[in-house]
Amino acid sequence: MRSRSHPVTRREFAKLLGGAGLALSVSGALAATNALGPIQFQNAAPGSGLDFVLRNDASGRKYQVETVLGGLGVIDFDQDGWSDLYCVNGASLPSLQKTDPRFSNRLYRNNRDGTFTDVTQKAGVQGHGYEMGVAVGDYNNDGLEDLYVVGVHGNTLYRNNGDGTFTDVTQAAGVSGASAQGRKLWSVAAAWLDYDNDGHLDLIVSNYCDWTPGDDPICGGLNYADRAYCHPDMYRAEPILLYHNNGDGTFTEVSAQTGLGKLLGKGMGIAVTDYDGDGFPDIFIANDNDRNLLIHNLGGGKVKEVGMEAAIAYNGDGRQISGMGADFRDFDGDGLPDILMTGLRRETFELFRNNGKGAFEDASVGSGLLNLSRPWNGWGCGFVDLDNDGWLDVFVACGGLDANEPQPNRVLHNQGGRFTDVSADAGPDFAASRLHRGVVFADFDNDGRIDAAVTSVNQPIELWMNRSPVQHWLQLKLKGTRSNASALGAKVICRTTQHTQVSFVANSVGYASASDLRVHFGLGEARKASLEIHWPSGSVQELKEVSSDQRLQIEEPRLSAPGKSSPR
Amino acid sequence: MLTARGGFMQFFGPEMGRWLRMLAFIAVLGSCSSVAMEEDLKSLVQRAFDFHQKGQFSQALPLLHRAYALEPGDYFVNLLLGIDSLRTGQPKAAVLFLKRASRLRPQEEYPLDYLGEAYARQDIYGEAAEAYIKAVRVAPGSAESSVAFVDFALTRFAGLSELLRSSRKGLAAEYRLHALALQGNDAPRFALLQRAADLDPAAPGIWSDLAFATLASGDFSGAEGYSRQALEADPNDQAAWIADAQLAAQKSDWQRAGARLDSVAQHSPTLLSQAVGQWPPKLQPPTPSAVAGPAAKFLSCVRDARKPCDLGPGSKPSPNSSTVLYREQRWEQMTKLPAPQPVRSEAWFQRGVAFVKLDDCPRAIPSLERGLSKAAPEVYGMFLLSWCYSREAGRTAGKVQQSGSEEASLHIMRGDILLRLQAKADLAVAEYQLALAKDPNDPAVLERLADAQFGAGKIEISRQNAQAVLKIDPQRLAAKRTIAKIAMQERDYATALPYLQELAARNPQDVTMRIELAKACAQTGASDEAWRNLAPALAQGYPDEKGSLHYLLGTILKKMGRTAEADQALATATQLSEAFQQKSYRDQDPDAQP
Repeated sequence: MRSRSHPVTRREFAKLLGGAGLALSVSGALAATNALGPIQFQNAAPGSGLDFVLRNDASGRKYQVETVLGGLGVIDFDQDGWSDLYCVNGASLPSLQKTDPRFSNRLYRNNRDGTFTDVTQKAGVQGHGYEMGVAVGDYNNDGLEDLYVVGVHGNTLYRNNGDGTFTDVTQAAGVSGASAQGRKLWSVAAAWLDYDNDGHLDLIVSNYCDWTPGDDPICGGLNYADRAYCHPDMYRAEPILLYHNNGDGTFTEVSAQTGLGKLLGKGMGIAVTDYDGDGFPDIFIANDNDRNLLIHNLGGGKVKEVGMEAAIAYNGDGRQISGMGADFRDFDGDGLPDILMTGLRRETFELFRNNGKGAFEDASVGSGLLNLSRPWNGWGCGFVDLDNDGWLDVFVACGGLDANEPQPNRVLHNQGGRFTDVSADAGPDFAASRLHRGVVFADFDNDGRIDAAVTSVNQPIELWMNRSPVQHWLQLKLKGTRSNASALGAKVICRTTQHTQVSFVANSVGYASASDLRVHFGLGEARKASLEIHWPSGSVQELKEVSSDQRLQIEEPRLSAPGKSSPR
Repeated sequence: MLTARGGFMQFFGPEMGRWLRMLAFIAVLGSCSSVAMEEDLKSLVQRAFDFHQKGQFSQALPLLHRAYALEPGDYFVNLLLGIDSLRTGQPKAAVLFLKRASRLRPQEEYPLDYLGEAYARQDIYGEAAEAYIKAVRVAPGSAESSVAFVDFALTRFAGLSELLRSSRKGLAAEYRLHALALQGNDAPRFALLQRAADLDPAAPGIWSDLAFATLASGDFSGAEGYSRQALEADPNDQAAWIADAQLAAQKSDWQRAGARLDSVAQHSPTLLSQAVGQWPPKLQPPTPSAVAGPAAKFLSCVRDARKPCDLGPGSKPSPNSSTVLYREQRWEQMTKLPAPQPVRSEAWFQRGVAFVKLDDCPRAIPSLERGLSKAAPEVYGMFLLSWCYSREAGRTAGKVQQSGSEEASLHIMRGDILLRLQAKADLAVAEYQLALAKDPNDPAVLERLADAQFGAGKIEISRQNAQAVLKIDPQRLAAKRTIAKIAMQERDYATALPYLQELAARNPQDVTMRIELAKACAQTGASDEAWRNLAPALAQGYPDEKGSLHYLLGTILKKMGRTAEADQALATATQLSEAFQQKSYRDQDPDAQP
């Protein structure tokens, strides 16, 4: 592990991160040794201290909730520059209570040496019920990343106290996840975003089905052996919730006021980005067997659902599928964010290419994704440059609904906008078949290569450390001053002599999960790049001649005029 | 050809070849009365049969006609004439010879099998069904007859299913069929029935079905509501009377329960006898004297789990018209009426319904087929036919499989059942492969295999096999359908388009195919053609529960520049989607409303 051979102490790291625009150089020699080869992973979870097991408490009754849990979140809760990990867990059924410590959510601190320490107890983030997903963001702009955990009939906002502990502020904040009528909902995913660019993070929550354990229907047959999970068509859909951050630690549910109305969906993964370049973040929500939603941000605090007009409501051949995970990034290098959505086996994953005219086109066939994805049940996913060649690859956590259909994860290599399945070469243990669910992406060992953590139902967590050949890279941690502190929604353009990439600070990635807030660019052979940062506040910042292979922490200029700065 | 059994019928695999050789031998030796005639007939039949064996049916026919002129009463000559007429595209002529052959040897199943096929080719399904069913009856041990009937039944089942899925009421019937197929009293069964009732609240018997589903789950207040609705919809609904009797018994109102049961026994004792299994065994009057007459007999059958339950003498023929008997649900009396004239389709339909109610599908099927209007088939008739076809196919297949035979035709039949009735494509692939091992170039088996492989997700090999079929026989529609399905799945619309156009042209009634054609046209820029295929289907009520087809229509209209209509279609799509999302299995439980 490279972080072991080139350790950086915590003190050194903090020193290097001390000012805006400071860089942490990682050995350039490493980058110089790159030799192109396959994307490769090694599961480093065993022995690392990451001992999380996602428990669904399935006992044959086939409660609907058992299949769709598994979110996790990357959070640097102690601000040491090393990605920590929060894992969301199930609970006892049918009580929906965490009656046993094995159902506890877990917070793992990254020890910066390839190991992790379970700090859940001290942090006080064990969770409260049958939970599904998590959103990570600094909602109160205190420089500390907070957690919003969503689940069945109750969500929890944990405020980061900055001393390794968190406080449950759900009630005071008013984000319990109940409907406007006070009915408890089943939330699957949530995402922080500043939809009105007022500098305070708001919250979007995707809810799934109207369900209670007491009257969950029995599907398949009365005998346990014949049971099956019911089709989502049997359940009423639930409304999407949009919470506006009042800036004083409280939120107001504003779906009706913003124009969403009582927008229903069997909502799963959420992906957020500004797809039309108007400076306001838009929201894509994958729906399970119902039309997908694209919530277009009109500005002025108003939004409009435009899924049909934008041609993403149904899949490329006009059908609704079991939409699960989602990501919203530029896979084909045209500077426009495109949508990736996973689905279940034989439905295929979908790729909607942004045509730059406010709508999308089916790119599943042309990119090769259609046939590559047909055999797989896709859940968590992400566009992520795994080999630092400047093109976003696809990682998908795969697994069937039930224990009889475990599947291995997939890695699809992007070669100029066309994908190839390279999973078979991804390492000897990568073929492990499980009921994989959530996946998050972060450079856990700070070696310039993006790693992945994956949950699996009733199985230990996997930590896929990226062991691909090294190419050049850049990582940016943005800190908003006038914009929200997490800089969510900031657009970053990275130019090298060979390639221009456009990315966003957007950590709601895949399925019910939050990936690293840092923006990562693979630079290929380029050793220099120029950066252009469009902050949500509207200010634009440029950094010229930035050397590759470093992590930058960049603070938003406090002046209102566009600023120019260079890394020191 | 309607039936897909042309594999062994058209191309004569080894089993059939052996059989015909034997037939010919017997014919030549046994059917002639004079020496001169014997010489002539023997030679003619032998030469004809040689052509026949080579598949040169048109060359065989003149010789057979000459033989027929010599001996019009010869069974084998008539049989071969019938088969070869059929193979040369003359099913109408074939019927005459096959009927005569069947009359000459009424206990032989072969002429009946071919007669069924000859009628089916002319879309005369009532007669076809009767012939196939009779063949199975006269030769219960004949695997070939069973396979032929199962193939026919499944093909009709699939055809009816396509028709049903093309209308809102039809979709309701499909949901109801799925509900009937579910074992046990589980929630999905109820949910399917509820969806069916939502889509077609006027469907005969739907509310009593719901009453029984809720009764079985122990929800008596819900059952009472459904029972009331059932009786409001049809005061003579005998099933609702039985449900009402059970509800009365649950409230210990044995007087009402007994009266209801007696009334049902007067209308249709068989129907009441069938209800023995639906009545909770412990639901008995406190004293035996509380209930008398047929009701007491019925409850005694329930207590002793006695099936069938003899509830007294069958009803006598009635002077009432079939319409009155049908309205009053006096099923036994209906079936005792003389068979209607061929043109009286309504009377045939009612007769068919009566046989279904009496659980006699073999007699119900021909009647219902005769009662089905070709121009506008009655949804309820199609629903009952689908139910009977699926059940009889399953029963017949079960009997044959018990015989343990391993003939290719049996593997085909098993594969058909697995693929078309049970949606177990993987298992069907294995059966077809076993059949194919016996005759590797049989296009009928190969196209089935391709279809099953498609269903099992083995796309590449499915494509190869479907293409191989078309090399052997370029006219095989099932292979073309498989290629079209693969291309559509791969979103290779340009490849799919000509196949879809041909399939839609061959069967303009196949609305599902026209919808697929519309999708392919929309994706290839042929907006006008897309609109021509999609818009009428939607206007006629093609089901679009989640709005995706109206969305497609909106995108097509937009490309055509018809913006206002496009916006309207997209708005409809949104409304449909939202309406569907508000549905729940709990809709009937007011306490469960959010």
